[in-house]
Amino acid sequence: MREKRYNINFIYILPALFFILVFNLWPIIWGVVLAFMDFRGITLTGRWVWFENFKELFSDERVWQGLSVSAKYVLYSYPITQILALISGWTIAQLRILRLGKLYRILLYLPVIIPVSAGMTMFRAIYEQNGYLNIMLSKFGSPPIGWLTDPKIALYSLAIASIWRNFGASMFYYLVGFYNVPLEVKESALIDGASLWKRFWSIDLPSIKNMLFIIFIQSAGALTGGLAEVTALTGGGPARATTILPYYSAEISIWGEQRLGYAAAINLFLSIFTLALASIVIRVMKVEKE
Amino acid sequence: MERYLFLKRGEIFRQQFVINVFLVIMSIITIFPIFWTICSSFKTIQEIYSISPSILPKSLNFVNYRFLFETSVIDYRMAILNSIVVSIITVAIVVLCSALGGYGFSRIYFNYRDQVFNTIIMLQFVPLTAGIIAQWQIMSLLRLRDSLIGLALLLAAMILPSSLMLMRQVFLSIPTELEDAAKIDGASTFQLLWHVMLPLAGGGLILVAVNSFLFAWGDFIYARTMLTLPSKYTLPVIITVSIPTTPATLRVATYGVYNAAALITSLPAIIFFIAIQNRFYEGAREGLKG
Repeated sequence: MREKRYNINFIYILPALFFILVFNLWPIIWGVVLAFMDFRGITLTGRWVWFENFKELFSDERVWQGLSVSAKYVLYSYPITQILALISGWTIAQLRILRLGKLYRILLYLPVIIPVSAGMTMFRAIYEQNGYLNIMLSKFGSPPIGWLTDPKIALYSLAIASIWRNFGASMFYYLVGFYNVPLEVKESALIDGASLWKRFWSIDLPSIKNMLFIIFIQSAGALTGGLAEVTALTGGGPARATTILPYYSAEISIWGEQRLGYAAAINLFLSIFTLALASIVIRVMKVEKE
Repeated sequence: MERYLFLKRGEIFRQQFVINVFLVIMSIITIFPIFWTICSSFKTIQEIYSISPSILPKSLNFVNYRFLFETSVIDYRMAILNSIVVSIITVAIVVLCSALGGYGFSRIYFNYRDQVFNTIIMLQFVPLTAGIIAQWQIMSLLRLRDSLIGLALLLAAMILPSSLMLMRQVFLSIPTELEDAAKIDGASTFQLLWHVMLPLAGGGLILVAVNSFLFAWGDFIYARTMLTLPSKYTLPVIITVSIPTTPATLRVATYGVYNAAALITSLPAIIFFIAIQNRFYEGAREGLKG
């Protein structure tokens, strides 16, 4: 049987491996290399500049602006997304009538299934000058608000649309986690006649502790998100109020002056920043566990 | 004793009532943007710009849908076709590669198998921004950037890691006795896959197919970065790009038109999701357990 390990049957994984290597794994590696080069436009050769990109990055005002917009975007959207997702997932798992649970989880998951650009187009219509929100305001005699045109408001509008779009995906994980709470644990709680609140805090929430841990770590990862939402809803505007860092890097490379090396450096910087933040979160949570 | 049980039942009813109230409110909030989109897609320009606009359209007016399919300013029909082409190619590649690859990773032994598999699993957690600049460059160099086939190859590579993971899990859950019997009859590994394994893995394959369809059909950010020719735009791209490019004189197109387009984009995704949503949750429950 030992020779079996050397048979040629690994050809089964070759097609999948080919696609993943060329279009998924290699670009990630190449992205790191690119960050140390000066690449402009579609040429075969770039120039090694080593840390020049990073030097420029640290003195680029727009990078810091982008990072702060990204941080605000996460701060406005991520906690609410998670709280709504947690409560929704938990309540669906508590339902006695399973059919109702099925209905709710379809309805609450729809925004995730709807293509992101379609969802954002829907929100664009709600935020329009004569869209739903302003119609409602006018009924109360208030002047229309520029939901997507006022730099002070646009980021909140974006966060609301993003919460709507993303909470279903998190709800899905919580729901699966709560469904998998062992039946004996659930039943013993019911026999004790524990109140809803008590069941949530002392039985169900502790049983998905590991999942919560991951969610907290991912909050740092949320910094790299939002590119699709911003591109479809606001295009980074008005007055750069919603230009998150990933959007800025796409703007100066793919959709703009094609400074690929510099954009890759920005993305690498963001990844490292995110990882550092995540490790801090892990450390803090470990301390609290003890 | 009797009285205690009675009280408890009342308590359970009360708890279920509270839960349902919360979930109904959440569902209304979630569904509302979609509802408003459906309403305004049937509104005429006079209704949208009226001084006292209403939420419901006065009548089912198909003017927006007719505009979508008749206008020559923006080629929505072409976009629908492009989206279908990209989705079909992506699904075909993913189904083929994940069936072969899932089999390879679950049943066939070769050197470094688990290391390769774990690397592929990790790719799912790398943020999109880490690879996109390099992906854009690689696609440009391979002359795949403004090509629908190229986009499909890229999308397939991005969804393959999770599809492989799922198919591997499906194959692992099939008892080995069946294969052993066929092996004694002298079947080759490919015959094993084709005649024994695949017929039993049908459910998993359907899930992989629908999952990759939802991904390819709804993809916005890759299509938005890789496609620059308007004749290649897919539906999710065209519904966001078309808004500012519509000449003011042709603004028979209010947001009603974009809402109609958003609905057409969403509909196939919603239908496919509802068709498989049971399998979707069961698959995830099993997957997260293991």
